[in-house]
Amino acid sequence: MQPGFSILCFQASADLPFLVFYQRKGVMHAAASLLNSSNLSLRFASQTQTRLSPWIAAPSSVRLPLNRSQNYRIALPPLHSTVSGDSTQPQQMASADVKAQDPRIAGISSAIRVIPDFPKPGIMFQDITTLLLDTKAFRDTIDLFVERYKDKNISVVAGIEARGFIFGPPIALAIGAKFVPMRKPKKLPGEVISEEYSLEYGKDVMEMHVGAVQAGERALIVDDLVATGGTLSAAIRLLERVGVHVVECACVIELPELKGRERLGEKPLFVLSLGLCSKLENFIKPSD
Amino acid sequence: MLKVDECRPNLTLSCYATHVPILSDIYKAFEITPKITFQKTYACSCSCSRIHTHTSCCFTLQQNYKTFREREPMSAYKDKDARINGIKDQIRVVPNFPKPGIMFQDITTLLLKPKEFKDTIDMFVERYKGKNISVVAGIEARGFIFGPPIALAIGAKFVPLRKPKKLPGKVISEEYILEYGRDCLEMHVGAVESAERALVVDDLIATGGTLCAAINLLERVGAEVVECACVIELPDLKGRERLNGKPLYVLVESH
Repeated sequence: MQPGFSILCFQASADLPFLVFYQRKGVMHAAASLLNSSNLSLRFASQTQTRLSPWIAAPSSVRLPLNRSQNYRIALPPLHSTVSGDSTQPQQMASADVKAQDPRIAGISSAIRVIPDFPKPGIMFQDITTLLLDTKAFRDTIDLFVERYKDKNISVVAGIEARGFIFGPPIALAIGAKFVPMRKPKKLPGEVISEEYSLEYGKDVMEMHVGAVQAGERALIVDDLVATGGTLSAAIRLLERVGVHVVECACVIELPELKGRERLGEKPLFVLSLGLCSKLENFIKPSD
Repeated sequence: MLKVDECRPNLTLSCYATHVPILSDIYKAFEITPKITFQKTYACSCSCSRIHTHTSCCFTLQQNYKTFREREPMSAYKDKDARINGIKDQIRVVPNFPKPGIMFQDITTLLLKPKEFKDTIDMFVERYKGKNISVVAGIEARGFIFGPPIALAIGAKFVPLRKPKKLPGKVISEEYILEYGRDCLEMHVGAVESAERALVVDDLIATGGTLCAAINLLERVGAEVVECACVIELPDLKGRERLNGKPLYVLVESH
């Protein structure tokens, strides 16, 4: 590991090697390490003397409880948003908050269940329904978003069908914004505008009611998870077509391997938790 | 209009000598739907010496009467809460959607009004807070809009009930009949435990088929469905009768 890196590492289960995530110039990279835990702690000991990265964590402090060991989850400090020209996100605010990860994040991350091979073999599905069963974690999830957005003069929260309907309305109610559902075709009864977007195989369409939002409004887009970013991009385009300013996209989970953040371009993305979407075995490379 | 029998005032209805016209007054006054309508003569179960004529409805009535007294009014519409008119005014009716002849009740316009949306949630929360409800089950997809805010406010967990193949884990399914054909509702195994008290939430009740499937799913895992809560009821479609006897609470009726 070279200087200039900040490292977060976690161990998916007791008998799997450590997976190391490192951040370089604001971009997350991932590399699997075949080092065992004792080697890694030695490395960390030497690194921390020279590194100032605020969120280097010793292995023991990020090890997940064993009963969640198949979670494939990494907890991040809450303000993990891309640098943007938006003046509401000053740089010093971002670095101040990454010093200490919000203590609620760990509970949220560990409440999310990963289901392998759903909907197709090879995909690790991030299931938020278990988060909804944990009343404290669900409340904390909403609180984290509300604290971030309540003084940002946001008048519209757009939620993407169907899991965005679970997180969007509580946020909208708490910040005093209206809630606008973005739906699959033929679900909305009134006059709609449509936006086509690409899927892995084929295309899909997203719709919004005409007149739900006005030009000049400030909007937040909410979904449970960002993968490739295709759905979120379609939602951004739909809102911008009617003259709305999309302030930020907010998701509970990001799958960084799929580079959704890059697909959103300069639109900021705020997430609470990262997940791996492919099996750990696919991910492991020989260590250098 | 109703006369209370003096011999056993707390068992009023079982002592009540009735014939059908007066019985219908009772039904109207207590808003009970009679289940049986034939007449029969037998000795009254109270200790007075009179032989009364009852309809066999009387015992059903007695049961309903008792449970009715414990229950609060079933419709906010009849409560005439001041917030109701504001909520009703924000619901948009879209004619001929999804098919000609259907007047679709569109709640998306209600969601555009923060005050009225909040009032909607508040009315449900005021009703269910302190009732020891640990589960709010919401029916895909518009039940996902109203269910979670209620669950968060009353400290219950939220359980999504979904169309087939959406939930990733192990599920139990309940099939139900549509106007043409069938559909299926699913719930994750383990989401709800036996003896939990549950609320079922959706935006609208029409024929009651979907709500009935939701009730069945929860009862199959041993939960107790305390009530069904909807924003809108279409009373002409008599969905209320299709709920396995479960109470229904709505904010707005639409004829």
